[in-house]
Amino acid sequence: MSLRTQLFGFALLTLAMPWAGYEVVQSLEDSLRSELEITLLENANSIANVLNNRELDMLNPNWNEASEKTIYAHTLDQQPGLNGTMEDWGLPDNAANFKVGSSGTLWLGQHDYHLYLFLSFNDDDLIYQSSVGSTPYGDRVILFMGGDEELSLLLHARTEGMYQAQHSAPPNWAPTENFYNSAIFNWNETETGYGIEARVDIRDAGERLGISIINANQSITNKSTYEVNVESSWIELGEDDIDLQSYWINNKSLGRLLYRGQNLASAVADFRQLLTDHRLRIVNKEGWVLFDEGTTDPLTDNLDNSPLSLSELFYSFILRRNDPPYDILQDPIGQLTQKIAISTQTESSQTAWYSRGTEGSAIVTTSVPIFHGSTLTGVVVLEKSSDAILTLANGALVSLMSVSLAATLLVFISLLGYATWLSIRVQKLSQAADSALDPQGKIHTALPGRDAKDEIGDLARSFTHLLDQLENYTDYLSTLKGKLAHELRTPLAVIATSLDNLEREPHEIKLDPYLERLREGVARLEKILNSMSEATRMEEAILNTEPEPYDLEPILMGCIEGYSDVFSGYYFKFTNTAPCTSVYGSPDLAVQMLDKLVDNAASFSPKEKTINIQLAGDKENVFLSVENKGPLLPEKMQSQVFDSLVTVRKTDDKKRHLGLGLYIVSLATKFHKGKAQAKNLKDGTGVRFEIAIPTINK
Amino acid sequence: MLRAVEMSTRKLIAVVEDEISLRENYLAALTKQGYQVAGYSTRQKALSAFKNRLPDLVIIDISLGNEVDGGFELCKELRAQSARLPIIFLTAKDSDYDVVSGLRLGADDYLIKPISIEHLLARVTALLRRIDVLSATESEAQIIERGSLKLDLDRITVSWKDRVIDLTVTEFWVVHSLAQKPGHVRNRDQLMSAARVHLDDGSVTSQIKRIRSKFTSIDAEFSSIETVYGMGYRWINDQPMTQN
Repeated sequence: MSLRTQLFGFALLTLAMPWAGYEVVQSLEDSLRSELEITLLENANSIANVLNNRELDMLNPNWNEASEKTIYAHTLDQQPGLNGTMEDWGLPDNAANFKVGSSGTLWLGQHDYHLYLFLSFNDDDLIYQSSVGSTPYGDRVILFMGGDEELSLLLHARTEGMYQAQHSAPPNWAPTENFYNSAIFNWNETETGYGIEARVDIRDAGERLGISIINANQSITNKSTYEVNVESSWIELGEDDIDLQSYWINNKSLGRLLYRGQNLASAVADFRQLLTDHRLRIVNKEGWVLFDEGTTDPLTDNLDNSPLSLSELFYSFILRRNDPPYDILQDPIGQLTQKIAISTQTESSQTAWYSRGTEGSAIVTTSVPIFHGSTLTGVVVLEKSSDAILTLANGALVSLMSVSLAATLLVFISLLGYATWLSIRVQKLSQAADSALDPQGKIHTALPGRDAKDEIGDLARSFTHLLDQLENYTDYLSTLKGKLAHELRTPLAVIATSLDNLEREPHEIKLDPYLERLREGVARLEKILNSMSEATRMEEAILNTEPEPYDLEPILMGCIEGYSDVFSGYYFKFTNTAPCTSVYGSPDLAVQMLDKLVDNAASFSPKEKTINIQLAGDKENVFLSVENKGPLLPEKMQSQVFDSLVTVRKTDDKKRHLGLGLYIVSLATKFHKGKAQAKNLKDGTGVRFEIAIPTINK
Repeated sequence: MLRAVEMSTRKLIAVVEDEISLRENYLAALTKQGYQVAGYSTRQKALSAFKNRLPDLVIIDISLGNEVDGGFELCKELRAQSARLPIIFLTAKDSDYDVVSGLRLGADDYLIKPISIEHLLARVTALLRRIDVLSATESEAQIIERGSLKLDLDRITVSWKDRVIDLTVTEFWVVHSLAQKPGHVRNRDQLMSAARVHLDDGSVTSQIKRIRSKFTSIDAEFSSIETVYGMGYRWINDQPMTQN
């Protein structure tokens, strides 16, 4: 793992800072939430205390029999125009409604002292009365009301339009001319049947309501007769002669009419102040809303006016909780089922959180049951928005997280930068150390960064010191040959001159063989000295020679022509298959290189054998190889034959070699930026020396 | 060679060499050849002796006793005293750098130990003859002309386009060997034997390099010494041959 990756990992730890900030804000919000819950519960309890044990409006403990049916009248904000449609009622689509039989739907609304009804009935065979007093009496609706007096009204029309309700009576509920003034209705035909929008005095209705629809249909078998179907709220009766009045009235089966009364409002008037930022709903045990005032959105306007900043959006996103949506609190409109279900079942207070909208604010809802004696009559539902808390939390959070994030980022970037700087320094040092020894064998001791005062500087200094010592040592080694040659020359000169002088003096003839041997020894020593100087001179020449482009082939061909004279008894074969033989280097050095290779090959090769000299190559390199049929190289020595003073010749060989010839080859190869290697031929018949030299690629 | 000695009165040859046995060997050989000799082991001794009388030829080793470059110093001082005094370096220092420095200081030849007495004497004789011929007003010049090249075999001098080129005796012999048969390739061994030295291949190469640079310093377009790779070198006449 690189230094940078490691420090990157450490830098990640700095992310703990904003995480800690997040945790702090989270717990801050938790405590603020619970505080809010407590306050809210206290308020709700005091409201419930006011309502406990009082018979207010619809919170009547006696009504809570399971058999009773409830008809809920929505509170209408505006007075409907009785135009035969519900469009001007201002109710949402999902407002609570009630089934009448299988084909009728009833909506109720309350405005001032009026009760509005809208009945939609599906009837594919709409029949009006043909003439007054004669059957069939046509499709008609009977409305039963249980105010101060029990009242049954017939809603009957001869065609579309406004009508007054009539008094009528069982069994046939035939139309009369006896109108009831305070109940009027508008009969409208619809695509699927008819709709009736009716208005009655709410005092006539009192607390009880029932509705029956008498549907007249032409008989399929006898067109002149009619069958009558009665559909009523909550009962299925198929007979036309049923005593609807006795059923409704005597059995007390009329539905319970619920609407928002004034008494509840005055009962909670003391808490009106609370309603500026709370929403108070009082529902009965079935969840029907009997009081609904106040708002949870005192801050919404402000929030809407100033759109959330990017950071606030970000934080509201990461701080969001999995609260259920607020919308589920009221479905269908007019009835609260979700929330109060728990309170009514457990008869205890409940608190819950709901999320609202995208800005991440929440609404806390508390519900406290209302009792009459030990009977549960309703529930107080008090709600408050947590905008204030979230805003507070947001403010703290935004500043805290912004600061810590900025600090984190700063630390992160600095750490990364520092790591990069460090690794670049180390990399530089390592590269310099790798390339300290250049292809020419020169050592560059000056490493980068050795002036730095830290540990990397120490490392660079140690390296430099080490390389200095290595350079001194290699200098010593490379000058050793020269020095040795130099030091040996003088004593050798003493011997040689003495020998010369001795030969010039008259001496006994029998001394001549000894002198001859002396002469031989001196000559051999001289040769050794010369080859040692040659290597040294070659090294010097390499330092002073500038590489130049030249073509290898004609030079080699010239050389090989000459070899047949010099190395008599050997055959030379030259082949060239290389596509490009232009190289960078020095022709002189190339010639010396080939001389030494051929000299080496000739000295190993048996007489009368062919020495193969080949040029081969690819796009990048030209391979110069010299093969001889001499003895094989020991495996171990194949990589060392080009080193100075290494020879693999058998020691009893007549010609002594210092192993400098191939060293000169390697020097010239290095100068050409090439590579030299020695290999035994695969068939084991000889040895092949190969020099790879990069070509001038154009 | 004997002829050279006979031609002169007994010449005084000084050998400055700190290795006693070597010095004595040279002195013995030179004495036997008929020269007057004087040997010195240090630069100071040599200098104080030369104050009284300059020898006719000096053979100097470069490192003298404690002085690593004592020979070079001595050569400089002697050259300052006499422009024509033949000076030969005979030393174990064989690097090109030393050879070039020695020749730049005005030495007439630079020989590397060990050299046979015979070769040494050949050079001494040649140098002394050059002096003699230069001082003798009338002498039949033995001259070889090859295009712009003129070789005076008596004076051992070379001129190119009528300008004298200052070659050492060794270099003169190399040029002579090449120019004798223009167009013919002389290999390294042939050149070495002509120059009466035994040198390695690299030395021959640098020898040729030095000769070329001496010519090109006078004539930048000089290209008469051609390298024949793998074979050796040959002389190319720069104009139609006018051999006499």
